[in-house]
Amino acid sequence: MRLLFSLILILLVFSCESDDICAESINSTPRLIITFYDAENIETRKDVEDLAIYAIKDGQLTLMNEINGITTDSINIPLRNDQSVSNFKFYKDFSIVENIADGIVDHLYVEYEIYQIFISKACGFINNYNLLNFLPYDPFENPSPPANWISGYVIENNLIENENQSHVKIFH
Amino acid sequence: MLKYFISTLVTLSCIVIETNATVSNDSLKKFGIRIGTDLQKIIRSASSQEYNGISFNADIRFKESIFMFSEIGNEKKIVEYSSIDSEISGNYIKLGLQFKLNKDIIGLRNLIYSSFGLGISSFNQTILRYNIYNIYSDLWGEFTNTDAINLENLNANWIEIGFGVKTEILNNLFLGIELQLKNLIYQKNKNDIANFYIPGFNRTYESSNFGTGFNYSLTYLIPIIKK
Repeated sequence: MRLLFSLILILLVFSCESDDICAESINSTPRLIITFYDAENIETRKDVEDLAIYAIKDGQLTLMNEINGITTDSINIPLRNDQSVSNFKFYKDFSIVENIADGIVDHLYVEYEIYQIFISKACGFINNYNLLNFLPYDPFENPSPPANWISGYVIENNLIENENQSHVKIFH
Repeated sequence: MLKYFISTLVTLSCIVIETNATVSNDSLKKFGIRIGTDLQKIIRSASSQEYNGISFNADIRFKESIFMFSEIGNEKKIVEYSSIDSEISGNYIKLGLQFKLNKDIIGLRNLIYSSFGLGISSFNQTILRYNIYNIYSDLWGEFTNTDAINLENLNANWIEIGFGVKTEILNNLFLGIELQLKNLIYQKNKNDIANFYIPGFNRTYESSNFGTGFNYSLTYLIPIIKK
């Protein structure tokens, strides 16, 4: 009987370990990965000079912290989770002149399906996406203006489940 | 639920009738079905907005120191974590054996026992609210989804060992406390979403199959044989 008592006690203590903390090693909701390629030589990566991206939310423009005039050939951008469309302004040769953004600008329209994936009671869920549409212009603007610096795009992976590979190629 | 309760009683009464003939040489002084309820569930239901539950139990002595027991119950529970709120509701049944550990003292009918049983639960879970875990939420803002996710026809089985005491507070009326340790054998999940609570099993843990529980039971012994 004493044995049974101690057994119950030990197991009670064991079962009380906390699972209410979301570990930092857990993968977060993946971002859309875009890689930039040379329009004349479509196998070669090409840097975009002074790239800046604004997110458009309810008519408001928000400059992305990490992409604010950098020169790079690949970017990760988070998608909007409260609706299945995200809109962006992609600036090339970006600079701010007297508090006004300056450069060559293209509108990016991204449409997707959202899938919720359960992670844990502490982290909640993450979203995965199925890319439906990726357009270098605003489809609701009529007539659609031609792209200014983006000459083409290819969707490489529709499913955005991780950040291990590029999802979209942009040629310029 | 009443249906289960009645059928449990009927099953147990059949056993009484069956064992009647065989125990005639036994030294049992009093024999009968003990039926009761878990006071802890009633108190929690009254005091907590997040919990509603009731259970009935019955046991019958069929050997000098062995009892057969059954418990049926219904529970509804809302669990709230930082990232998820969920509501679970369903029924359960437990069946098992209790082994008397103490010797009888004349004039006292206290019982110290350990038990071994099997639990079966059938339940539904509704995820009421959940956060989308996103470390890059500074761009678009945090997002909490309040579209409910309904997960229906879930079930689980577990084994349970228990340790308890029962003491007679009035003639044939017993008050008891029991501690339980449970181990899940099987559970059905939907959409890979964890069952945060299982009626009869209680809270679940992500890292193990163990569960714990206790009850305060009030039981009445219906005497059938008095020798």
